This record gives sequence, structure tokens and C-alpha cells, in this order.
Amino acid sequence: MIQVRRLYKSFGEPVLRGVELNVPPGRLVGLVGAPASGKSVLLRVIAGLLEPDAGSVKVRGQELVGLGYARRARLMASIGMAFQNIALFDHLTVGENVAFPLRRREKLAEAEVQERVAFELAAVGLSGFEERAVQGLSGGQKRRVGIARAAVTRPPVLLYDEPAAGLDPVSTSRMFSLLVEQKRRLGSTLLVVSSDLDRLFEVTDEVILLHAGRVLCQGPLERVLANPHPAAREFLEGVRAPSVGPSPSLLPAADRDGPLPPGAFFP
Amino acid sequence: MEFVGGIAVVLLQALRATLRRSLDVEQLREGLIRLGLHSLPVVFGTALFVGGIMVIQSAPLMTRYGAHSLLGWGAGFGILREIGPILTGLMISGRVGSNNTAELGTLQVTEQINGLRALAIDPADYLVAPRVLSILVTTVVGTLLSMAVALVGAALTGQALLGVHPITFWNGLTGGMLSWGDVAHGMVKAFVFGLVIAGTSTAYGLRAKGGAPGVGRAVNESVVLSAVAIFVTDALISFASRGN
Repeated sequence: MIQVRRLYKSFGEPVLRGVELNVPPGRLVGLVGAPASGKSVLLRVIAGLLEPDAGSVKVRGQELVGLGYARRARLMASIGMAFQNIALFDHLTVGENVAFPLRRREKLAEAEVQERVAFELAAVGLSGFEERAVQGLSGGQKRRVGIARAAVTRPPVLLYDEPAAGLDPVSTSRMFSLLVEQKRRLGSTLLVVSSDLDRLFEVTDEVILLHAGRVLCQGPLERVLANPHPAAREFLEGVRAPSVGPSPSLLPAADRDGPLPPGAFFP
Repeated sequence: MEFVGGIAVVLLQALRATLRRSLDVEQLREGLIRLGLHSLPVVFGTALFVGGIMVIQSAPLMTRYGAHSLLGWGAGFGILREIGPILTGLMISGRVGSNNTAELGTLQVTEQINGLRALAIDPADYLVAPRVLSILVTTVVGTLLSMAVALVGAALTGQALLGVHPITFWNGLTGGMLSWGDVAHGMVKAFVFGLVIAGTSTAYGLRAKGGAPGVGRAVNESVVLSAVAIFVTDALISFASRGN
């Protein structure tokens, strides 16, 4: 579904240094890595928002790099993206935000627009929010509106940049459940950047680990977790070990089901 | 050069979207109302007083030489060729241009413009072209109307201060020393000022970066550069059309 070959991008300093990856169709793939490893830039290049210095990005078999504006726009229409800082349109209501691509791009009949908007808002747990102002929403609600807007045209590819950033544990769990539900309902391919490795690893089919602008390893979760590369060990153990230890879902059953110490609490 | 290039790109994008009829008509309508219609009261108020001030300043000379019949010509010459366009240009730059830069800058630093592009919607169609056209129309129409209001202000002040009847003022205005060419001269300036304000304010808004301080800097630079560019282009047009 998404093929990236020898991708380079620099902003004075090199950010992507020969990225190679494959995202198979219909999978939920997690893109992880240390800060400044190039995750968000890679996602933007795949979304067509940044032109790489060199390399190839194919989405659904079509080359995105170097396309003229009209053909690029057609290909970008098959990609939905939600941003880390949400990027909802402040001057529009929740319903207008979600309806925006349907009205502007798809030119659907108004009745169908309303129906699709209501359906997508219901899917993210925001039924009846159509007339609400964006500014009045909580961070988690805004993120869910962003997810609904990205998915309302039912694109075959969905790119999510830190969809759970800044959310409390309950909202984070709901957000990742929502992504799984979206994959099941739309049959889309999801590429998700997240720093919440525990939650992400609970829902991903595959993981891509980025290090210093290159893909260090890609594959099923177990293979990535077992990668012996020092940078992989440092990132995975450094991020996951010190504060809370491994996610309960990744522990052997005997450990996971063991008695909790008095006063212990898992959100 | 980067400044000129940025403005040129913005104006070409607007022209392309207009010719392709891909610009967002709803945004254009909203822009004409919000940026244009709502600016008219302040433009009218300023023009009315400026017309009056011109007469107040020239009143001692008019009285000394008994040249009351030339009041209409004098006020008309100044207003149509110079004061009307430049005053309206500066007012629109201060009110509409700064607003445009601030809005686009905020959209840029909050990634809302990237949000548009991610939805495969061209910001040139949705944001750039409607705003450039709105500002251009506002400047040209606003200048035409402000000229008329300034002349009314001059005529009323002339009657109150010098006892010059409005008919005498009108005769001085239309007695043959002024022509439609003078109106056209002012309108050419208004058109160029409109392009300058629209291009500068849009280009600076779109390249804003660095959060709220970056938006503030963009607004500041945009307003200052617009004002400088208005005076420079005014001088160039006046020089190019000297004797006409």
C-alpha cells in the first residue's frame, strides 16, 4: 500500500537519510523512534505535504514524488491525515470541520454530507456535536474530531501523527481502540506515529523503528522488540523500562496475572 | 528580492485560481463583506475629515486672493489624483492588510493550512485568491467612494468656512480644468495599491513562523512594507504620468 525507497530530506541538517519501508494494505502499523528521528517528517512526506530531496514514495502503486499539482491532489485525496497539533479549522463548527472535505472536494449532496458527518461523529463518540464550536472542546474531543475529519472521505490510507498526545490514560485507551475500529470498519491502512509505545504495541500489526533518519527495523512486534541493535535496545528499554516497566499485556501470563502489591493502581 | 518574489507568487496564484474559476466563491463573498464592507465606515469617516482639512488649510489663501471659484478645482485635483488613493490605501493597509496577515499567519503556525493541503484542497483556491480579490475590490471601490466623500467634506467645509456655495464648488470641479483622466489616474493608483496590499499581507501571512511572536512580526513587517511600497509606487506612477 505504501512503499518508500531511499528517501532523503534535509532542513539544513539531514532528517531522513535513505528511508526504506513497506506498509502492507489493511494493516495498522506503528512508526516509532526517539525524538527528532524523523517520524513526523516522514509522515508528511508520505502525505504529500513535503517534497523529499530524493527518493520514491508510492501510495497504492502510484508514485507521489515529482507529481504535478493536479495528479498529486488526486493521489492525496486517497490519504487522510490527522496532525499532532490537531489543525482543526477554528472558524468552523465541529460539523463543518468534518464536512469540509465532503463539501469542498467530493461535492456530495447536502443530505449525504449530513448523514456522513453524523455517522463519523458517532463513530468517534461525539454524536450531536455538529453545532459545537471547536474552541469549546477538550483536547481529546478535538483529536477525535480530527480523526473523524481524516476518515470521513473513507480514504484507503490513514496517517496519524501522535493521535493520543496529551490525553489522559482513559482517553488514550479509547483513542487506540478507535483506530482499531477504524481499520476494521473502513479496511484502511493505518500508519500511526505515537510515543505511547505500550498502548501502540497493543494494537499494531507491525512496527517500524526509526533511528536517526533511517529505518532500524520493521516487522511484527516481537521481532522489533527482540532487535539486538544497541540503538533499538536503548530506545525500547529506555522508553519502556524505567518508570512503569513493560506493559502488562506484553508480560508473560504468569507475571501479568500475579497479585498486585497493596496500593498498586493501573489506570 | 525574496519579498518581491513572494508577492508575485501570491498574485499569480490568485490570478490562476480566478481564471480557472476554482476560487472559493463563499470565501470571496465573506471576504468582501468582512474585509470590504466593514471597512467602509472608517474610510468614509477619514475621507470626510480629510476633505474638510484640505479646505481649512487652503482657506487663508483662497480668502486673500478671492479665488473661491477655484476651491472645487483645488480640492478635486488633490483628492482625485493623490489624497483619495493614498489615504484609502493606507487605511486599507492598516485595517484589512494587517487583519489578513494576522489571520493567515495564525492559520500557518497552527498548521491549519497544512490541514487544508492534507485534505487535497488547494490553499490558493480557498484562502489566497478570495482574499487577494477581496482586498483588490475593496481598495478600488473604497478609493472611488472615499474620493466622493472627501469632495463632499470639502464642499461642506467650503460653505461653512468660506461661504462658497456647493454649486460654485461643483462648477470649479467640473469647469474643464479637471477631467475623467484625473479620476482614472487615481483609480490606477488604487488598483496598484490594492495589489501591493493584497500581495504583501498575504505573502507575509503565509510565511509566518514561530508561533504568536512570529505572527506579530509578520503583521508588523507586512504593514510597514505595504506603506513603503504604497509611497514608492505612488511616486513612480506620478512620475510616469507627469504632464497627463
